[in-house]
Amino acid sequence: MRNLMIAAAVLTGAWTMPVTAQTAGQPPCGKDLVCANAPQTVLAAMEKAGFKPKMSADRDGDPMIEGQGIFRFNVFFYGCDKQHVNCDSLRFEALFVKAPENTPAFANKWNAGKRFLQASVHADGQLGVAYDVAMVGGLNQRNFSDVLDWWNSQLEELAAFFKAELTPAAPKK
Amino acid sequence: MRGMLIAAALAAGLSAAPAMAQKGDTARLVDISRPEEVVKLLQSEGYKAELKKHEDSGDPYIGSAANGSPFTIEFYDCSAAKGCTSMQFFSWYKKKPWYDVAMANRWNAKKRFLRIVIDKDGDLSTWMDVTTIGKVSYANFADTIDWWSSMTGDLFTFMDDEEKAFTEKK
Repeated sequence: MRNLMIAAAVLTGAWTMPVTAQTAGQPPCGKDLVCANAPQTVLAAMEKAGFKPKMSADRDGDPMIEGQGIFRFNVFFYGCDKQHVNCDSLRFEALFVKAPENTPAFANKWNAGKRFLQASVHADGQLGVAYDVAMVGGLNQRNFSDVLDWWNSQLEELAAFFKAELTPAAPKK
Repeated sequence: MRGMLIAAALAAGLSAAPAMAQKGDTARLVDISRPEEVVKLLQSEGYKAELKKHEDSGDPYIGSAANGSPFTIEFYDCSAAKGCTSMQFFSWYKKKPWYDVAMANRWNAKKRFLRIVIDKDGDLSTWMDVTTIGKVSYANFADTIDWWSSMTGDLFTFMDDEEKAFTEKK
């Protein structure tokens, strides 16, 4: 299954680190925490975990981080305000090109047997897997490092799932 | 970002949306690797919660409810010394004529947090997995519970729409 890089950064150079403004509701990111309202903390944790992260922005101008595990993936920031800061949750997402095997039944088979990743076939025929993480209050390094571990290990599970499900059976002698 | 239909859950008078859930203490750390601690946290957030044990495996789980519908939280990889390394919110709904994998996919392609599945009997299961290592803030766990509750509320709205579309098509 061919992994797809999302054409991401539309706003070239438009991304700036969020001002350390204390916008609506959320307290600033605490010391040593990883927070959706401080994207550089997410970037740093991903860097440490070896995902070669690159800061970018999604189509709406909200923060987005490109990463590389066994597949390429993106981390989207959700719940951001109009200034694209003060986000409150994350979504890890990997996409795979349109293919005949991308069916609801195939996605359902993954979803029924595996954990953490939500698989689906998108309207354009691509297969997506996603993992959403609540980030209000921030996560400590140990907890977020486990989030990254789950994402990484489930992508590896996914590669094994593709292999098991999509490799044609050897012809009978 | 892509729209998130929490408005539906709100309109139905269900739980508060996660975006509004910036209540709770961000400084207070809670150990959600301990099922007995999670019982107390659920109760302090206004949910009923009862600690139970699977008869076969002896593994702990919690029985609770949201939006008037029962759910459980399963704990994985547990030991007395270290607690459990992850948890899984789970709910189950009996087969209906309009349940199929295409419907599950319509949900999974557009909604966050809640993974829904049609099993071989045609029943519907919903899951949300959460890592429990290293403690989290009270505010963060309250946010996690809110996501489960509000997305489950959202699912009920989605299912009503699916039922309606199915009935009209007939």
